[in-house]
Formats: sequence, structure tokens, C-alpha cells
Amino acid sequence: MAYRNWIFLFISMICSELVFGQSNSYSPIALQDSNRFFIRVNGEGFSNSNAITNAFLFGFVNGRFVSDDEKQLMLDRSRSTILTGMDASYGVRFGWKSKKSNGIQFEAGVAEKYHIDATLTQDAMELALYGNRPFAGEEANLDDMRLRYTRWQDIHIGFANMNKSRWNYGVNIHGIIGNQNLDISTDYARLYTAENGAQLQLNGSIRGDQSDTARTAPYQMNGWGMGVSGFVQLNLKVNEKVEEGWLRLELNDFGFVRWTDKSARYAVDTIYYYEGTYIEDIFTAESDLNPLTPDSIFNQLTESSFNGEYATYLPASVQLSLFQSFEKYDVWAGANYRINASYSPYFFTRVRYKWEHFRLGGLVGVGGYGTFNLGLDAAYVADKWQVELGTRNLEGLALWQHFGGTSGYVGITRFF
Amino acid sequence: MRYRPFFILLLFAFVSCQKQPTWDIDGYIPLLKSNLYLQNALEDSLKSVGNNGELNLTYNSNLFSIKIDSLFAIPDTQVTELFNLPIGSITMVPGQTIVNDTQETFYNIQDIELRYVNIRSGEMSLEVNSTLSENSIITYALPYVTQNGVPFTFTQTVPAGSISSPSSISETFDLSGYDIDLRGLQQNSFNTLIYTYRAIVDPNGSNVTITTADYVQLNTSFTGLIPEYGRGYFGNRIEADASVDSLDLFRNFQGGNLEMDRASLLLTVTNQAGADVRLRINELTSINDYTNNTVPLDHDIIGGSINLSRAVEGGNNTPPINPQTYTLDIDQLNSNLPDFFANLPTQLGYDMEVQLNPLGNVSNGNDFIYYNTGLEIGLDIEIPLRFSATNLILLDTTELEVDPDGREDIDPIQGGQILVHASNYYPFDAELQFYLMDSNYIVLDSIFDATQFLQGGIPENGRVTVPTRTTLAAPLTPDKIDHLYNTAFVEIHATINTVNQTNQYQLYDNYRVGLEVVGDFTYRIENQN
Repeated sequence: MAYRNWIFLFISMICSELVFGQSNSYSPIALQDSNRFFIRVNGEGFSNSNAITNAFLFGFVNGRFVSDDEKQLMLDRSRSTILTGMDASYGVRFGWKSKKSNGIQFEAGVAEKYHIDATLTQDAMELALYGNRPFAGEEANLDDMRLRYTRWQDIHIGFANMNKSRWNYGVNIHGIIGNQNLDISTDYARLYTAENGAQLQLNGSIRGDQSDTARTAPYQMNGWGMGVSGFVQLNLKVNEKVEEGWLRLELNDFGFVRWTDKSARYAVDTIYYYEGTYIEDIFTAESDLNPLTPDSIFNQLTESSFNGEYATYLPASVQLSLFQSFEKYDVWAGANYRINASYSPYFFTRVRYKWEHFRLGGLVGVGGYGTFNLGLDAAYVADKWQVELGTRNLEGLALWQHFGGTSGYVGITRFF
Repeated sequence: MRYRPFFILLLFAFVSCQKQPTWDIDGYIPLLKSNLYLQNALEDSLKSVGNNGELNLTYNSNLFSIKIDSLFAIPDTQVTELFNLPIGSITMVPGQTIVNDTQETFYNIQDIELRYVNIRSGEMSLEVNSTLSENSIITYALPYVTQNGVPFTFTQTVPAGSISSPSSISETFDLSGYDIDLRGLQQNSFNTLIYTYRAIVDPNGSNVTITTADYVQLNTSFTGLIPEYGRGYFGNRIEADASVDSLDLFRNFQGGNLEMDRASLLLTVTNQAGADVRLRINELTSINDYTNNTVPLDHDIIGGSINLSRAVEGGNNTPPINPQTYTLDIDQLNSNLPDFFANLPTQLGYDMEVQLNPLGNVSNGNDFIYYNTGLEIGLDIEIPLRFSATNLILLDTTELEVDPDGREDIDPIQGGQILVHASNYYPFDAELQFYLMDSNYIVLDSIFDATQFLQGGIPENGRVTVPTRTTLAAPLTPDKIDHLYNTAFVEIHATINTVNQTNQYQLYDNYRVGLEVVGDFTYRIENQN
């Protein structure tokens, strides 16, 4: 793989704006007895797909040419429904505990978050990779596809009960500033290409919502919302050899955004025929060829647009995980699911070895936006500092032509 | 995190967020839907449509014309009158007449006897030279040259002169609009112009002595006289003409065989002259200068005579004449006209004779002619587009300019082909090829790698109602695209064969070749920034 790709991934692992990863950066942080405050800076991001490979995605870095073999590999990987998605965020959290030794601690923070997910049909992927020539005389099935993109800023405040009792819990309330949103879906869409290529027919019901297109600069408020996150944790140890353990249920980004009345909304239910530029008599032709372009289709679709408010739900994350800490290693196992995203249930297991202050771990997971992933993480854990970084997609680095996962995260916590 | 800016800069040093992956897709896109009406390649003046939509070729032209007024142009003339004493000397008193005379000029205009002429344009110049030592008064008159009934008269004082230095006056007169009676003094002649001149001693002067060395000289010249109207007897000359005229009707057909069973030619002879005319057509020949093949017209009129009476004066036309017309219908029943045109003539050769007054001076000198009139022979050709063709070669060149502004939209095309799905109603097959030429007519490339075959429609009951579909393929390569943008002209080569060469088929105005042009090419998806 080109050296630039390695550098890109390395930098993305340590650069908070472009990291990809899947981590517990918003998981509760317990303040030890010796600490009263913490401040944490973190960034994470991950992308994956059950069809699109990194060989394709790296083209956005180096503009590389995707060969027919690589295209066929993506198509072979694809199932009837193709999922792809990306989540990224970075932020700052600040926590403190009350002077009473009751385990109650408070937290506040700000974060910027991105989410993209798409559900495509196999025919849509084949259209994008190979064009419509393979569909001569056939319909390409574009039913039930969806593309969602949301960017928002998040301010939260909350508390957690992290005492040594059997149950711990916490809740954060989030104020949401909606920055950008795009949501396009097809209920029914079929693209027919005539056997001889002389006609294209698009029959579909397409709906779209988009936040104010005139205000796209970062941090411009195009909507507002509220959300909640929280956790409940049962502290347990499977046996006496376990130093610490818990069973935890987390909920993140459960909320909504209401977008302003300057948002654009589209709803088209039509049959669109295209047979090329029509000239009754070629001897009297005066105009140039004006082939169909994506802009012309889009313009026809948006002719029916109107402005109005609408609301979207955030892609909430629900995770159930079991953690057990042993003398030399820690073990996690769990399941994760994102609501309102093109996401399959994700199952993982993770082991991390401990050497004094250093930690080194690996993860195996299946599901999510992709199929299968291997992770690697490292951490430095001390009384006043905690630094962790890692990736959940080693397979995407080693076998970049076969897998599509790219991720990385970093978090730095300072305790006072 | 204070190290964040460093990592951001490091990131942008190594990567670019302005790129995207590139890959090739196979596009199958309709580009154009249109119709090719071959009949619309003809100008409207060259075609007509019958009641049932039958297409006909039409052609209207003047084959031959002769302007009879050009036959009797009045020649330029110059006349000098001189007065002097042969012997001795004489003293004249003021007011005494020096010379007074009437003369005539005869115009020799071959066998034409003009009696009256109205002048359209022309001039007369008058010069008087005198050696007399006293002023004299000269009067010059043309009693039979009138304008609005008033004869032409000129009077002028000639200054005193001397033998060594004669005095001189000169004037030029526009004779446009003047009527000239050329019958002479007795009014019974022709081509004769009468003039008078008189010179007297100035009544306000002194006595003048005239010697043998003295003279008074009068120079008169008539130039550029063009009649607007003439009357007389125009003789019975014969004017012959043999020539070849270009015919563009079949210019684009450069070979092959065409058979047709119908054609019509209306020959119209129009006599605008006030004189009887006899026309003799010795030969009318179809000439194909590609094959050098000639087909003479076989009809009773060839070698025969057409007699036309003279036109009649009067009416509200301009000029006021009612011409005499003779028409002759020539078709497949009375001639070999279909074969004549099946030769695909690019020229028409003719050999004709026109004789005025074949019976002599039957009008007693009352023939007339107006300016720019005479005898005209017109052709009105109508050929039903009903034929059978064998290897009929059609060649045409047309301008083509591809807008260079759209070049960047085509650059991502890596290769492929342009498909033309043709639905042909015309009842003939065609082998097609198009050649791209630059502004110097140098061939750059051809549209198709090989000649393409377009199948013809199958007539049922003489008419094609269901077209025959053929797909033509033109490869699209970067080189060919370059050539297309450098093209100034396209040369069309078509070899036409009717679907059943034993039958002849009529073309109808709704016949066309329906065209659906499809782009079947490999297109590279790449960042256009």
C-alpha cells in the first residue's frame, strides 16, 4: 500500500479532527478517591461498509484508479442490502465529584459530532461501479435506499452515581445545535435502460429533506434539539479472581433535532423518461447535444421542493457490555446497536494486557456497518493521567483491498 | 490540545482532501432522437408533394432567351457640315444669313428598317468652329426628333474668331425620352434622320468680310443611343445558338443506374416581340459529366419548327404588350424523357435557331419591340420520385462545426461507440460512410470503421408502412474525438439500391429515417476540479 496511506492512517489516529474509531469515549469515567476533577479531550471516528473496501476509499486521499478486479471484489462482498456508515466526533468533558464521599459526580462537556449512513441496493452499487450498460433491457432496483447525514454540536450536563454499591447509574442531558442535515430516501425507485439504449426510464417515489442550504458554514444553527444519554451498571465479579467487574447498559445520543422552516423538502412521485435531445428534422437541427446530466435530473426533482420545518432523530447508540478485570488482563464482551442508522447489531470481545501503567489490547467484532473487524489499542493509565488510542480496523489496514473499515480514536484524561 | 495545529498541518502536507477515486463505468445513454427526411435536403423550389403525399422533383428554369432589341442598336455616328467660299470674298452685313441648309443621315442597321424609335438613353454632341471676325448666331434643329411633340432646336452665338485662331462652342444634349421619326423628309423612308442648320451674322455686330480662308464648321455626333421602343421592319434574320447549361438537380449523384418510368417536361416558348418568330430545336441532350454519358431527347419537336405569332401591343402590363405563348408537353408517352433524366444529367445541351419574320414583311413595317424583350424558352420539369436504383452513388458535402465549449464534458470518455438505431421507411438499402474533412477538404477520418449497411423498408401495396430497423455502429476513440473537433466539412457517401430492383417505388413525403442515437461508451469517473 502506498506510503501515503499509512501516513494518512497514522495521522488520523492521532489527529482529533480526522480520527476514525469506535470506542467508549463517552462512557462514564469514575473519579478515584485521590481525584476530584477530570478533564478529558477525545476524538473518535469510524467508518465501515459491508461492501465498499478501503481500496476505494483511499481514492479520496490519493485519487487512485479503482480497477475492475477491485470493483468486482466490492460487488462480490455486497449483499442484497449494502450498508455503509461513518461516525465521528471530538469534544471536551469536564467532571467533578461532590465534596461528600457519596460517589456522586457531575459532568459537563461540549462535542461536535458527525454521522453519515447509507443503505443501498446491490443494483445501486453495480450502477455506480459499472454504469447502466449491464442493465440493458432490465430494471435496476433502487427501492428502499436511504442516505442520511447529520452534523451537530452537543452541550451536555449530567451526573453519575459511581459509588461502590452494587448499582451505578448516570444520566446526561444534551442541548443540540443542528448544523447540517440531509436525508434522502426512495420508497420505490426503478431505473430501466432499454435493450438498445434508446430510452431511460426512472420510476420512483423519492423524498428528501435538507437543512438550510444557504447556511452551511460550521457552527451555523439550522436547528435545535435535545437529547439524553445515560447508563446503568451492575457491579459484579464472576469469581474471586476478578478484581473488578460490571455489566453495563449505555445509551448515547438519544434525541432529536428540529430543523428550521428554511429547510428544503422534496417529494417526487413520478415517471421520468429520457430519450435524448429531440429534433424533429435533423436537417434543421440548430441546437447542440444536451445529454442528461445529474444536474438536470436533480433540477427536475427539486422543482417540486418547498420550505418547511421537519424533525429528525439522532442516531442513538445502545450498548450492553460485560467487563471483568483480572490481575494481568482485562476482558470485555458486548453488543452495540445504533438506532436510526444503517447499522447491523455489532458484537465484540476485547482483551487488554496490563504492564504496570501500560495497557495493550485487541478486539474482535462482527456487524455494525461492516462485516468483521480486528482492533488494537494502547493506553497509559496512571493516577493523574490516562491516555488511550487505538483502532478497531486492523483488517482494513492489512487487507485494505478486501475490507472497508477505517477507524481510530484517542482520548486524554487529566485527573486533579 | 496544543499539538493539534501541528498534526493538522502535517496531515495537509501529505494528503489532499480535493481528490476522489477514479474508475470507469460503462454508460449506455440516449443522446439524440431525430428524423432524417432526405427530401428536406432539397430546396423547397426543387420539390412538390402530390395529393396522396407523392414526392416529385421539380425544376424551373429559362433554357434559352434572345433579346431582340439588341439586334437593332443604333450605331454611333458623326457628321460634319462645312461652309466656306470656293473663290473670291464677300462682305456680309449684320443679320445676313451665312448658311442655311437641311441634310439627312442614313443609319445602316443591317436589314432592319426602323421608322420610329423612342430613346431610352443616349447623347448628341454639337461643336461649332468659326473663323469669322464677327459674332455669328448658329441655329441647329432636328425637326423629327421631338419630346412631348416639341422638336429639338438649339441656337447659340458663336464668338468672333480668326483664321489663325478660330472660335469654338460645343454642347452635349441628353436625348433620353426623345421620339425620333426616321422616315425622312418625304415620310416614306426608314433609318433616316433629318437635321437643319442656319448661321447668320450677329444683327448687333458689324459688317464681316468672308474670304476663301474663312469657314464655319458644324460637327455633330450621336453616341450610345439605346431604344426604349422601336417600330419598323426587323428583317428575317436567323439567330442560332448552341450551348451547354449547367443543371444542378442531379449534381450529387455521381454514378450507378437509375430507372424511372415517368417524367414530364413542359416547354414554354414566349414571344414578346411584335414580329412573327419561327423556332427550331435541333437538339436537346442530357449530359452526365461524371460518366460522360449523353442521352438526346427523342421527340417530334426535335428538328421540327414551332411558329409563334407576334405579340400584341396594349393592356396594363409593363411594357404594354400581350406576348404570344406556345407550350409543349413532353412525357414518357411521347418521348424518351424518363431515360433522358435517368442519365442523371449535370448539364443540358441544346442547339436552336430563331428566325424573325419567316414570312417576310407581312406587317408592312409595323414590327415593334420594347427594351429588354424578345424570345424566351422555359423548362418546367416534374419528375415523380418513383424509381429503381442499382448502385446509385450519392455524394454530398455539408458543413459541420462541433462546439468546442463542450469538449471538457467529452474528455472523460475513454472509448466505446456511438450506435445509431435507424428505422428506415425509404424503400432502398444504402451503404453509408461519412468522411470528416478539415477546412482544406483534407480527409481526417471516417465516422465508421467500415461502410455501414442500412436496410430499406419493404413496401406493401407500393407503400412502406412499417420501417426496417438497422443498427449502425461508429467507434468512439480519443483520436476520432480529436478529429471531430477539427472537422469543418463532412462528406457523405451513399450507395443506394432499391429493395427490389425489378420494381420501381414511389417516395412519399412521410418517408424518413428515424434515428435514435445512443452513446455506448466507457466513461471515467474522476474529480473534475
